[in-house]
Amino acid sequence: MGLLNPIWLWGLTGLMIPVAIHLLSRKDMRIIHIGSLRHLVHSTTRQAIRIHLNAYGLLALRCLIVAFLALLLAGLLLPGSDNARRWLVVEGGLEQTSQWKNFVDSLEADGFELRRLQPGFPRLNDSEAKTFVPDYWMLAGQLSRVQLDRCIVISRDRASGFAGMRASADSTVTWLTSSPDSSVFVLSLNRSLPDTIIARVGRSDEMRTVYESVKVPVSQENSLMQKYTQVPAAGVSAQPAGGTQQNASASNNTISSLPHTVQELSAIRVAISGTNVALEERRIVEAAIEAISNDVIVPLQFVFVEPNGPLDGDWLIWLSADEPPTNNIASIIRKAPESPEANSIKSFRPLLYASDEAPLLSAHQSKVSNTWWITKPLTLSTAVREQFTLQLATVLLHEANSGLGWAASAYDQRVMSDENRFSMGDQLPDDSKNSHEKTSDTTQREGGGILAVIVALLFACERYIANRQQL
Amino acid sequence: MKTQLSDLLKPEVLHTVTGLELLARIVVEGFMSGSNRSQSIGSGQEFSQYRSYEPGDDLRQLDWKMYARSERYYIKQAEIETNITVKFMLDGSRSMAYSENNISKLQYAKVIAAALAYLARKQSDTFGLYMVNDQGVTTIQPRFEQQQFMRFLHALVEMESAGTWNQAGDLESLFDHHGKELIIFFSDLYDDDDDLQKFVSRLKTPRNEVIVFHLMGGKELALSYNGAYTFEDLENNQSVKVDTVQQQKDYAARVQHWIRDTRMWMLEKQIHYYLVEMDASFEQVLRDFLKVRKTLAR
Repeated sequence: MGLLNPIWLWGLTGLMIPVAIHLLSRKDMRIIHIGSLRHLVHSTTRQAIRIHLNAYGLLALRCLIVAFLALLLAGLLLPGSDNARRWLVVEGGLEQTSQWKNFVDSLEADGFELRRLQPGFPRLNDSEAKTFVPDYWMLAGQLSRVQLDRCIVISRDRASGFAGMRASADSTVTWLTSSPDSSVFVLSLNRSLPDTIIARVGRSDEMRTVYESVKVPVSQENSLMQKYTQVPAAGVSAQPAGGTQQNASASNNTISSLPHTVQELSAIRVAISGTNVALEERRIVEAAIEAISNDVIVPLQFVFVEPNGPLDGDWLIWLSADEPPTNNIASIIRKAPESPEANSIKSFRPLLYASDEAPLLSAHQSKVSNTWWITKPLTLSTAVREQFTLQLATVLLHEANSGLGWAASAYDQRVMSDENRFSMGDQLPDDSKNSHEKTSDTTQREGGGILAVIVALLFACERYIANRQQL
Repeated sequence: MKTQLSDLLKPEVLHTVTGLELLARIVVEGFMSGSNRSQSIGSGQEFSQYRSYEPGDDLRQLDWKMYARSERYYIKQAEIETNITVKFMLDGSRSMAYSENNISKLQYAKVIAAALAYLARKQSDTFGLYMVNDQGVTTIQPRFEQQQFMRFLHALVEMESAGTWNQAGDLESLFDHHGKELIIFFSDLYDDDDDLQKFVSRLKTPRNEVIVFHLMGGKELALSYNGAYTFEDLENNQSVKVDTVQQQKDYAARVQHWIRDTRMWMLEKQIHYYLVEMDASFEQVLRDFLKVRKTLAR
């Protein structure tokens, strides 16, 4: 037995009301002054006694109503059944941290089953802690389908783990957030010049993740490593949601090992060519590439080649409508042919898009294609409006960046804020201070329904008897 | 009860002489219009007829003006003025304070007494007032004077119910057996050891006429209070708890039996008994009373 809001027990002082009414009404039985009592007889018959008993019964009923109402408001918890299913679901590794260890142990002593926050919810002792960011919303949905009486979830609530359909919170689930320490990490080390290492250093806390590039001479590489080599909290590594070949290889790239190899950056060579290239288009492309090369670590080399000249390089930007020569060139960015059909849909496409099968896909999504189309005539206004430089950079640097994304998400310490975590409806009580207190009562269930029924029944009885007595 | 009249039944009206007079006038005038004259003829102020003088007639009744005109002797006849003395006696004991619908038995009696006194004054009867309780007897001696009615009303207004019926036995002054008189006694007839019965019996003589107005409230008759109440005796403050619903039948039967007994012994003594239910209007009470008296007079 326990109470959720013991303050409402003050409502029991309301018991004084019916008692007081009873006593007062006894005292103040209405007096009628009459000329003579000679024709009146004192009523001590059975009926009068019954009326008195009724009065006492009514008093008891009214007291009970007040008492039960007070208990109802106080939120009486009745002893629950012993086979109640109670789970403590912990995200991988958190059960070992000093912050949660005691909590987890006390709940286990309380009869909670320990589970992992993983698909299938394996028992904590039977399974290996997997170090990836779970799909929280999917898991929350599964949890609410498990039909638990009580469930406490301890999770890191990585923002990167919330994807897809937002789940609604289940009232039996208490969702606790383990707030992360802020971390500083080296995402990648690149050497472009012989004597300089460029490190991408990220700082991440629960609010934001910021990256910056730090240039270090090769001689100071070790001090940089000492400064930044810091294993992210609990050694979480990236794990893709899907299972494609490329993503799987990225997942092997565990964080701890990642920044230790210095990646040699080879220059990306771009050739610009075409028959009868308009001067403005050429200028725009050259300016864009120059701007990109100023801002990224990867060195970019570009050269303008006459259409008949020797073509060589990683990329060819072909700025005329006719067919470009394809030898020696891996990837081509070319102008779209001027056809009426192409014109009609041109305006809906991004300036740069990948070729062939899925022409409407954006360039970024189609990774296999190596032919890209420039859908519109390049003018200054178009280039600015469509952010040509940015699109070009995305296309050109895509391969150089591949694999870093997953590593970055593993380092990402950002936490999904409480108000966005689950869809509105029933709010989860996730105040971790209260949670300790509340979880101690989880062996009991609320008696609200029963109490409400009892109060209603008592009230009905009271009304019935009171009415009958008045007759 | 008429609404206009019941509106007047307020303390500020009942407790002033002019107010009580007003009430009495309203009550009486209400049914006096078109009322019948006295059937018997005699000497009085109201002219009735002439008849020829016969030897032996009182010369004082000779109409000399008529003789001057017609040279015949005529005796002027007028309606006989009954010239009886009306004595109003009120039971001033505390039990008369019992009230229903915001009017007590005493107040009710006052209004009826005032109305009857008004009637008596119109008929040139003398009337007096006696109120009896254990504190003594308030008396207005019967007189035929201009101020008598006002004096009478003033005494009525001043009257308050207190104590019990007079136990001291100094009521001898009330038993005045001289001449014709009409005694009208207002009481609730709640007596101790038949003292009221003895009193009323002694009032009655062969020459006088005694009328008893028995005042009873409608609820008092039927115990129609609905519910359990504590009843307290007005005179000795004893109380008893009563479930009225349960007792109603027995109580009503007992009261009816008591009333029947009272009526019977009064009838034996040739005392007129009128049961007045306070639910009825004053006019109704007076009309019924006078109707019965008229039929008795014939």
